Amino acid sequence: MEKRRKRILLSLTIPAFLLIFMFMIVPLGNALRVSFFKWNGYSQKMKFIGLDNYLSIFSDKVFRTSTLNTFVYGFGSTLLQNIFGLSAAIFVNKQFKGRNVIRLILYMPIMISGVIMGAIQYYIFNFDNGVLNNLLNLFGIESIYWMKTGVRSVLIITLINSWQAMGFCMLIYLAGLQNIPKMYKEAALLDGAKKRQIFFQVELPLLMPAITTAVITNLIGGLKLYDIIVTLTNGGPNRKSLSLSYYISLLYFSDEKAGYSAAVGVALFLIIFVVAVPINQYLRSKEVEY
Amino acid sequence: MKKRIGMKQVTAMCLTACTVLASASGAAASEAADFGGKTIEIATYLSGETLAAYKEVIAGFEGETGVTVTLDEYGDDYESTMKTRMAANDLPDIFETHGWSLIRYKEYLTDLSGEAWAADLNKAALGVIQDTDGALYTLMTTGSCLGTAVNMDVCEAAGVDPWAIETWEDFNAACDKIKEAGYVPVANYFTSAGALANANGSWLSYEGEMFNDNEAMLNGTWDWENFRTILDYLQTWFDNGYLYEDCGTIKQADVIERCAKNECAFVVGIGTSFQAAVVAQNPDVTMGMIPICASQADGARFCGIGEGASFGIWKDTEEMEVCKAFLSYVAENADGINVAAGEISTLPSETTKSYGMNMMEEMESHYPEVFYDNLWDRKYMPSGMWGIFQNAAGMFCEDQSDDTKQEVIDYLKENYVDLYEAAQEE
Amino acid sequence: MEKKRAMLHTKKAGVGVYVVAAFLVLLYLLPIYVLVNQSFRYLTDLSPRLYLPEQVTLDNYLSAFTNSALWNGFKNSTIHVVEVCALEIILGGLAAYGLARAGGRLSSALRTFNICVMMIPSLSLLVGTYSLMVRFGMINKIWALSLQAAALGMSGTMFFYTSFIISIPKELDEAAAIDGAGVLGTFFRIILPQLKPITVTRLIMIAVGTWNSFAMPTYLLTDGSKATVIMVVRKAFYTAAGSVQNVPLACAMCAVALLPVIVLYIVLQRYIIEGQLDSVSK
Repeated sequence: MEKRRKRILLSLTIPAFLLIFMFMIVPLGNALRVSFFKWNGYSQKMKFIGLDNYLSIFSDKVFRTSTLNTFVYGFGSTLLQNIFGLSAAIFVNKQFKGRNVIRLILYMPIMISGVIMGAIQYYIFNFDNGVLNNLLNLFGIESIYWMKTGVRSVLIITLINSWQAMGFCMLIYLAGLQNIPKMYKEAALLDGAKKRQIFFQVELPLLMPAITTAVITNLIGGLKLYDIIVTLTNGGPNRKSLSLSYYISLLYFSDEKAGYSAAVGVALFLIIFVVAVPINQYLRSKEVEY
Repeated sequence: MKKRIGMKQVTAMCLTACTVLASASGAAASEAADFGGKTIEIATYLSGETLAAYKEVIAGFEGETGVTVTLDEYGDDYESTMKTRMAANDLPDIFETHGWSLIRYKEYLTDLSGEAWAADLNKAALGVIQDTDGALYTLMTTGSCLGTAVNMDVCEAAGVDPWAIETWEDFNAACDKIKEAGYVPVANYFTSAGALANANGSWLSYEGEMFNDNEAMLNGTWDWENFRTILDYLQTWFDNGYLYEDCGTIKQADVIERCAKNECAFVVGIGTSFQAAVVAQNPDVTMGMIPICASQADGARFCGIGEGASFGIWKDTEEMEVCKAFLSYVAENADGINVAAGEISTLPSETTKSYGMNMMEEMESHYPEVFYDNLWDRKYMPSGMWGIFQNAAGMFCEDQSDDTKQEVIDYLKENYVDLYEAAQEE
Repeated sequence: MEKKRAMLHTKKAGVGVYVVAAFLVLLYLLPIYVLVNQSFRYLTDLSPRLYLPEQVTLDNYLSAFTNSALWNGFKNSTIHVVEVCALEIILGGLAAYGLARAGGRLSSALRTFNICVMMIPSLSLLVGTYSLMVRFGMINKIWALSLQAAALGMSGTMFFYTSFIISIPKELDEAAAIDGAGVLGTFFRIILPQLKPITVTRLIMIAVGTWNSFAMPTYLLTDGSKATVIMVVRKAFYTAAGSVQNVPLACAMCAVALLPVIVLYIVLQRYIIEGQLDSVSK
C-alpha cells in the first residue's frame, strides 16, 4: 500500500521531468556532442576534433575574465542584494507614514526587464549628457568616463543588478523579521541581551530559512546574468565585462565558433554545478526549525 | 579585379537609363498580378526611416498583387538570428545580404543574373555583388560609400582644409592642428571593427601602396606580419592623443551625438549614413567626406563601396515566382529606400539624389582620382572575420604595446587561417 | 520625564527616516524620470538628460501609440505568459507534491537533480535547443516557446513548491489517507488550498519573468509578427547601420510598454508584495 502510494507520488513528477528532459537534458546532450566538433554554427559540415575545444579553454584569456566576472556577478550581487535588502527591510520595518509606498517603489524595478533597464541605465552612466555626469557638473566636478575600464564596467553592472533585484531580498527579510515571534525578542530582552546581541543571536538564526531562499535565488540570477549586459556595455570594453552566458552567445553568433561555444557552455555548467551543490547543502544544514 | 569608376559617369548613366525605364516599369508591374492569397516571409535589418520606406514598398507590392508579406525586423540581432536560421536551413524567402551575398550567403541564394533589373544595376553595384562567374545573388538597391567622415565646421574652426589631405602624413598634421584648437581629431570607436577592418585596406591591397597583397589574401597564404604597419600607424592616434579617452566603450550613437555637438573632426572608415545621422540630430552641422588617405603622394586614395539595402532570394523558397516579382517591384520602387538611407543609388529608378550621393559627388569634385573598391574585409577576408576584427580592435585599443600587437596579429592570423579553411571546405 | 525623552528621541529619528526615504525614492525613480524625460524630447534636443526637455513634444507618443507592432507585441506576450503560467503551476505543483511526499532516495536524488537543473544557464543550451526545435517544426510558434520556457522555469517552481509542501504537516495527508482519499484527492483537497497564497506569488513571479524574458524569444520567435513586447521595445533602441537611432521615440515606446506593467503592479501590489511576504512567512 505504502509502496503503491509512493509510486503514484513519483509518477506525478513525470510530466514535469519529461518537459525538463526534452528541453534541457536533450539540448545539453546535443551541446556536449557539438563541443567535440569544429563547427561555425550554420554550415552543414562539422569536423570532429576531439578534446581540442576543451584544451583551448585553458589558454583563453577571455574565458578567464568572463569566468571571474560571472563569479563577481553571482557572488557580488548576492552579497550586495542581501546587505541592501536586509538594510532596506529593517528600514521599511520601522513604523512611519508612507512606508508602504517606499516598499512599493523599492520593489518596482524587479517588474522591469533587464534589457530595458540596461538601455535606460545607459543614459545615466554614459559620458555625454549622462545623468550622473550632469549631477557631478552641477557641483563643479568634471565628467567621469564611468565605464572606461572593464573592472569599472563589471562593478557598475553588479551594482545595477543588485539595485534592481534588491527588492526581492528586502521582502524576504521583511517577512522574516515580521515572522519572528515577539516573545523570542522579549524573552531575550528580559535576559538582559543588547540590541546587537538580539539581532545576531536571535533574529539572524531565525532568518536563516529566508536567507537560504534569498541567497539561492540571487546566486542563480547573478550567475546567469545576461540581459542587462547586452544593452549596458555590450560586454565591452575589450570583452572585459562579459558573463560566461554572454560569452557563449557571442562565440556562437559573432565569432562563428559554435563548437567552442558549446565547450564553454559545458564548462559553465560544471562550474555552476560545483558552486551550487555545496552551497545548497551548507545552507540547508544551517536552517533552524521553529 | 580592380575597378576605377568615375562616379560622374555612374550618375550620368543612372539619369539616362532612368528615363528609358520609367516607361517600361508600368508594363512590368501589371504582369505580376495573380499571386492573391500567397504569403512570403522577408527578413530585414533595416530600422528607422529606411525601414519605413521599405515598408511602403512592401505595402505597394501587397496592394498590387494580393500577396501577404510577413516582415521580420531583426535589427541589431540580424546577423545572429540569420546564423541560427542558416543552422536550421530554414531561411526567410527573401532576406538582406548586407555585404555577404558572395562569401557567406551564396550557397543559400538564388542566382538572379537572369532578372530584368540585373542589367540595370550600375557598375558600382556590380563591382560589389557580381561573382567571378557572372552570377548575381542579390538585388542591391543602395550602396554604402565608405570613406572618412569630416565635420567641416570643426575643420574650419581649427583652420584645417580637409580637401587638401592626401596622405596619412597630411592627415596627422591636420589632426595636430585640430587638437591644438581644442577639438578631438579622430572620433573612431573601437567597439566596431571599422578602424581595423575597413580603413586599412588601402595600405595592404592596392597598387602604389606599401603592400600589394591581394593575391595572397585571397589564396590563404597572406603574411599577416604586414598588418603590423597598420597597427604601428594606428598607434600614432593613441600616442598623439587624437582619440577620445573612452574610444574603447562608446557606440556609434555616442559618436553621432558628439559630432552633432561639434566636438570632433574625423571618423575614418565609415559610410555616409553616419553623416546623415549627424545632420538629423543637428541640422546646423556641415558634414563632408574625404577618401581614406594614401600612404604616399601617388598612392590609392580609397573609398569602399559596400552593399546597402540588398535583397536575395532563398534558393529553397516555395514561392520563387512571387519572390522574383517582389524584387522586380523593389527594383522599380527603390527610390524612397535610397533617399531614406542617405546612401548612393545603384538603380536607374532611383532618381532622387540622396544625401550620400551628393556627398560623394562633392568628394569627387575634390578628388577626381579616387579609387573605388568593395569593402576591404568583404572582398579579401573570409566570412566570419568581421567579428574577429572587432575583438582585435578591442584588444588593441586597451593596450598598444609590442606584445599586444603581436597578440593581435596572432589572433587575426589564427582565425583567418581557420575561417579560410572552413570556407574552402564548403 | 522619561517618557518625554523617549518621545523626543523618536521624533528626531523621524526626520532621519524621511531623509533616507526621500533618498531611496529618488534613487529608485531616477531611471523612470530619465525615460519619461527623454520620451518628450525632439531628436535634436541634446541638452543634459538631467534637465527637462528644451521643448516638449508629444510626437513620440503619437508614433508609439499608433505602432501596430507594439500592440501586437502586447498580445503575443500575453498569450505566452498565460501558457507558461498554466504549464508551470499545474505540472510543477503536482511534481512538487510528489517530490515532497514520496520520500526515499529516489525523490531526494530527484530534488538534488532539480536544483542542479535550476542552475543551468539557458544560454548554454541555445544551440542544442534551437536545432531540436527546428527538427520538430517548433520555430515561430508561441506555444513551443512556452513549452521551452516552462521547462526552463519548471525546476524553480518545483523547488519553490517542494520546500513549501514539506513544511505542511504530513499528518494532514495521513489523516486524509485514512479517510480513504487517494493521492490526487489528497493533493487537490488538502494541499492545494494550502498552496493558494504562494501560488498567487509564484504566478506573479513566473508572469513577470516570462513577460521580461529576452534571449530565447529573440532566437525562437524570428517571425516579426510573433515578437513579444520586450523584443519590440529592444528593437526601438537598435543602432543598426543605415539609420539614426531615435532615442526619444524608443523611450516613448518603452514608456508605453512599461505603463501597463506598472499600473498592474500598483493595482495588484497587495498580492505581489503581501503575497510575497506571506509566502515566505507562510
